[in-house]
Amino acid sequence: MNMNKHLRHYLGRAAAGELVFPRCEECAAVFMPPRAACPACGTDALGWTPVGGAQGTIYSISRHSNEGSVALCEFEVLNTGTRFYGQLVGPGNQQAQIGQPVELTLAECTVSGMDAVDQGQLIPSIKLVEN
Amino acid sequence: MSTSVVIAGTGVAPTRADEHRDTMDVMAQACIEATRDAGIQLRDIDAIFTATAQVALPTLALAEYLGITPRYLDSTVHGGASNLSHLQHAVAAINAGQIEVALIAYGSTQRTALKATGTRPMVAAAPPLEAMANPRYPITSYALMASRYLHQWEVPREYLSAVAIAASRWGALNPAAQRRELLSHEEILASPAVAEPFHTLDCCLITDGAGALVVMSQQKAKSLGLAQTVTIAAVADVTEHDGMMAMPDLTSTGARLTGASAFEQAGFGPNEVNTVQIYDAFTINPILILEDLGFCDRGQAGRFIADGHTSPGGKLPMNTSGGGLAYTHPGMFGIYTILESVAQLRGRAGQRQVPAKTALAHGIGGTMSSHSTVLLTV
Ligand SMILES: [Zn+2]
Repeated sequence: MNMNKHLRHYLGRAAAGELVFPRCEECAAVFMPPRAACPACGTDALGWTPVGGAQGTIYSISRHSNEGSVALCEFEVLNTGTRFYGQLVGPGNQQAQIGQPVELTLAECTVSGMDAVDQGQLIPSIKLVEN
Repeated sequence: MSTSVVIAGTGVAPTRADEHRDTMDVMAQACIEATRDAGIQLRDIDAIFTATAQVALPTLALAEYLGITPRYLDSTVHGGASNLSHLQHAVAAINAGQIEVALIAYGSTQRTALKATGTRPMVAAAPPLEAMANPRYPITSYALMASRYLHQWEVPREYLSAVAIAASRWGALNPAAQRRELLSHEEILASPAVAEPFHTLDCCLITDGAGALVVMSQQKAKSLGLAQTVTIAAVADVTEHDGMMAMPDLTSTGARLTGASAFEQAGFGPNEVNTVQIYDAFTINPILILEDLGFCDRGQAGRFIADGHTSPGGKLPMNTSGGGLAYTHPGMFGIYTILESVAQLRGRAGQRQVPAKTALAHGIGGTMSSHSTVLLTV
């Protein structure tokens, strides 16, 4: 997939400190990743919904030695069965397990050389929630 | 039911060679061998189907290199399922009377490129939202499926190892296989960790290679006096996602849909399939696909493989060439699932030969994103 206009909008809002997910104005579906049409009803009448601090759980996780962990997470706000894929940041990420509670957060991008995202730019990420 | 279209010839370029090799050369080698096998001349080809990440405008380059001027061109690319989809397109064009003889080809020199430059040509790029999470694409995506599978069904990591061990047993019987020594669970765990739960021996090889198929109508094959043809009984394709955020279920794939469709087209079911070749880029793949195609109940394929049912002597011989884990993996393995099915159905599989009148080939592209199921019969 390319760095399309919906991704640019999503990442621009995050860089400015705001977490949003795409939301369908016709059927209220909230989904990821951002796209040109709603995956639930097909309309292109799409907007955004604030999701800062959204609570979820780890659906699957893969630890990468010395490089952090990548997790796929379920969030209640994602009401269409799609999930959030991101780096698990902060304490405990090397011990995290499937089923643990997480929160959507902003963290600095650790990857360099990407189109439209600078290293150090704030991007949507995941952190463990302390019980 | 069947399509009345047949695979009349196959060609394969060797996985191993010492000299520097170019993608066009390995592809041409496979194509020329396939035309000889089918008893035709290169100029008899009037349709060309190809996919590779290493040649720009590959149908044009390959046609010129082979000295032919086909009137039907198809460079459909959706990863490792592409060459299986080419079969579907060739069947449609032959049945519509648009073409007579189709050439389907794939080739890559990933291993040569890796040795020469330190990097290998990627067949796909991570979606941007995945890339910024710093994964090891595409390994991380399949690792997430494997982690979820082990958690969801509460099954041991040994079941992933069982897939690589079974592949090594078949590879030991295939003189063309890159990996011929038998693997153990301990050796797999001792290989470097890549992306949990995967170690390097859970991941496919990086090799050179090429394969080609000549496809024509049954009638045409008869007129040429070809005896050893394989009938294409069904082909079905689907995609349900590109990246991992949109994959509906990490332990169930689009193979549910392609399997059901292919078996309906062919008029028979999993019980009547004698051998299966499933694109095994990673050890989790055959586990998920066997379940989705209906060979095992959900959560059961790991045990099925660990119990030896897909190994030499088992009731469902799977990946009899050694697969992408032990035989070869030049970037995309799709065409090899067809090549091995045809070799088994024609009785040309040497030491690894199994009794087979029906075979299933399954290709996967992207991160479990495209699926193509092919059923073949003799
Ligand atoms: Zn909608």
